[in-house]
Amino acid sequence: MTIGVLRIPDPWIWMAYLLCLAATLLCVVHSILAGRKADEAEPTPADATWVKHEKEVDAEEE
Amino acid sequence: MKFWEIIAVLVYLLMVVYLGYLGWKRTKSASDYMLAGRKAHPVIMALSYGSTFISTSAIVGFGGVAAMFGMSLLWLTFCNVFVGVFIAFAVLGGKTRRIGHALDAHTFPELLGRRYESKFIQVFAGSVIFLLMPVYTAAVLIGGSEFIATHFGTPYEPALLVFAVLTAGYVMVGGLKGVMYTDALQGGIMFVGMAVLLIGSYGLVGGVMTGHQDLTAMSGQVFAGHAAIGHQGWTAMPAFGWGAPKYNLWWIVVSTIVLGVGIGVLAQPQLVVRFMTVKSDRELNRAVLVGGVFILMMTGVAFTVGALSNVYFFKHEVIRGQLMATTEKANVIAKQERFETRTVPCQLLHIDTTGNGVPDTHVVLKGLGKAEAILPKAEVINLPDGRVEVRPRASSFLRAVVSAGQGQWMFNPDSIIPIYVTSALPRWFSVLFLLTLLAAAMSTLSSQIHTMGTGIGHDVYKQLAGAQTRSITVTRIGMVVGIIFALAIGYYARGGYVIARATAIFFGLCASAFLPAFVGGLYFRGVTRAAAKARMVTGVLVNGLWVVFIKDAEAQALGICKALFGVQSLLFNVPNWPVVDPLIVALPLSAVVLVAVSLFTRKPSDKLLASVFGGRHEIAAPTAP
Repeated sequence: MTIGVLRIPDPWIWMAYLLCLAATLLCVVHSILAGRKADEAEPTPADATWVKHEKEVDAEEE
Repeated sequence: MKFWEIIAVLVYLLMVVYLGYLGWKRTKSASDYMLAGRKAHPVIMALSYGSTFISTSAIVGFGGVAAMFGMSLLWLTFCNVFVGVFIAFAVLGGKTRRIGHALDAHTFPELLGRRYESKFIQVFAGSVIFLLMPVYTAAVLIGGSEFIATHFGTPYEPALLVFAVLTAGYVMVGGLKGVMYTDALQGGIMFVGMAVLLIGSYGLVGGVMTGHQDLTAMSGQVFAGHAAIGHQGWTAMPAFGWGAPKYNLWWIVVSTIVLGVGIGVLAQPQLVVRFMTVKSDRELNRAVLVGGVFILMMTGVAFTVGALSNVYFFKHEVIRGQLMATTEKANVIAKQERFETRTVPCQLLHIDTTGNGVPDTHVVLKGLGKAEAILPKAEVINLPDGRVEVRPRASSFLRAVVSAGQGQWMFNPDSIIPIYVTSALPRWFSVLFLLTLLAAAMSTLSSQIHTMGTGIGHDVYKQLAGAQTRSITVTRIGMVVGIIFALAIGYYARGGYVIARATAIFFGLCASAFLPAFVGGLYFRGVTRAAAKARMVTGVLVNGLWVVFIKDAEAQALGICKALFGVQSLLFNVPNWPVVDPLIVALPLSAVVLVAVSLFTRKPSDKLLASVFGGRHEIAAPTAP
């Protein structure tokens, strides 16, 4: 009897189980590596304009 | 409800309101972070996104589907983490933020409208969101209500009303804009609740290996109606193939549940706008860590525990209480569509486990007639104190017997997780789980209701009435109408894993309608306004027609196909097609339309392309509309 991985015999299921963990690990590794490398730019004029108008949109909705 | 349970819920609500007030007082909206040059902490940002992404729908609805169909749903968890977090944050997030700010877009329809310089696109997208979002909102409401009904032993309808008033009241009073700190608190509660659920559940079934092994050994217990459509056990994929009903389940799981929801998340309006409130790519990248772990702990746990609940109910569950009544012959509804109801005759036991004189647990004693062979046979022992001890020996689906009103009973997949939590885990955990669901529902609902309101107010009314018009009244009316519509859906639609289906409909429609135009708009200069219009209309039209005339369950519920053509689905007699999700047809078709029309229509102006694709430091922000 095939017991597969983690006692799950169907490879499509244990692959999904392991891929969930692998995808999470990818997120963790990416975050650690890319999070350090990415530049932390100062707000641009476009950012400032967007923020100003976002506050106006907020005000209209509250 | 016990006194300490009321106190726990009240303390939680007070904390949410207090944090909401603090957030409102300090930073009126998330945008203030950027204006002040401050950063939203990546953990806060990721928890906020995650708690908006994950609702009672994912935990109760999809958890119930996993209990019914098994661990094949883990493919959805993989999509949730890889597509919904990694692709969304690391690939699309930064572009969305830069282009959104460059175009001064504040909603998802506005982003699409400005990217393609088309008022039509913004109004069309806003209308679609306003009209369809209540379907998803209903799914969130049903999820919480099913738990309240099970936990407190109340009828479903009042539970729905209470849950809607509680969550919508919170949204209206203080949580309209989903202040990040409030969302993060809710995300934190959800994380703790699901972590305890995972550990407790594996512990109950004897650990990881034993639990999986016992679950695999249960393949012979699959309900006959599910085996007929390809269910091969809870640790096996459904049978794959085409052209026979025995392959239906594979297409339901893969096309509707995994792809419909897994891909659809990329074009969720309430999630896309979150990327615009982030200061830099660095924050996005840092948030990927917490986001990935959080989503794994939400859907991964819900689906694993859902599947494992079968082992608990079949092998470990012991119910002790007062036998209040026996229904000698109940035709329990196993499948109910508008024109098709299938029932299973059986004897039911109604047991009071809490000692308050009201039967709160209903289990199958045995099947009657031909159903005797396909239903579990419960073991009943009379205890010396006059109570009974019952071992239901049922799979999760057959254990989830609930009242369908008017003296009828049904097997309800949406009740599986609530019944499991109430039966298997300590009472204190039930309260923590209730808070988890309240948190999940509140954080998602606040974004849903806000998106519905801005959809009709900002994106439709303001565009049509003029830029200087104030849309506040229309926005608020839109929110109230949306909630009432969602309540109505929640009231009438129950059973048949409606939570997951309603969620999949909305996610699939968003993907069909918006995804190619959204991604094309972010990455490809050559996508034209005409192509974006054509593909959005194609996506919505094909999706809509498929739901109305082909997709069996939804076509039956709507009844238009039956009224016009006398059949519940135009492809009723053709195997597999009626269960294929509209996304499978609509998304490729609309993507082809996008490319084809782009080749033959006028290219976007250089000015627009410069503001969208130019270096972000050179972008000159357009003036407000």
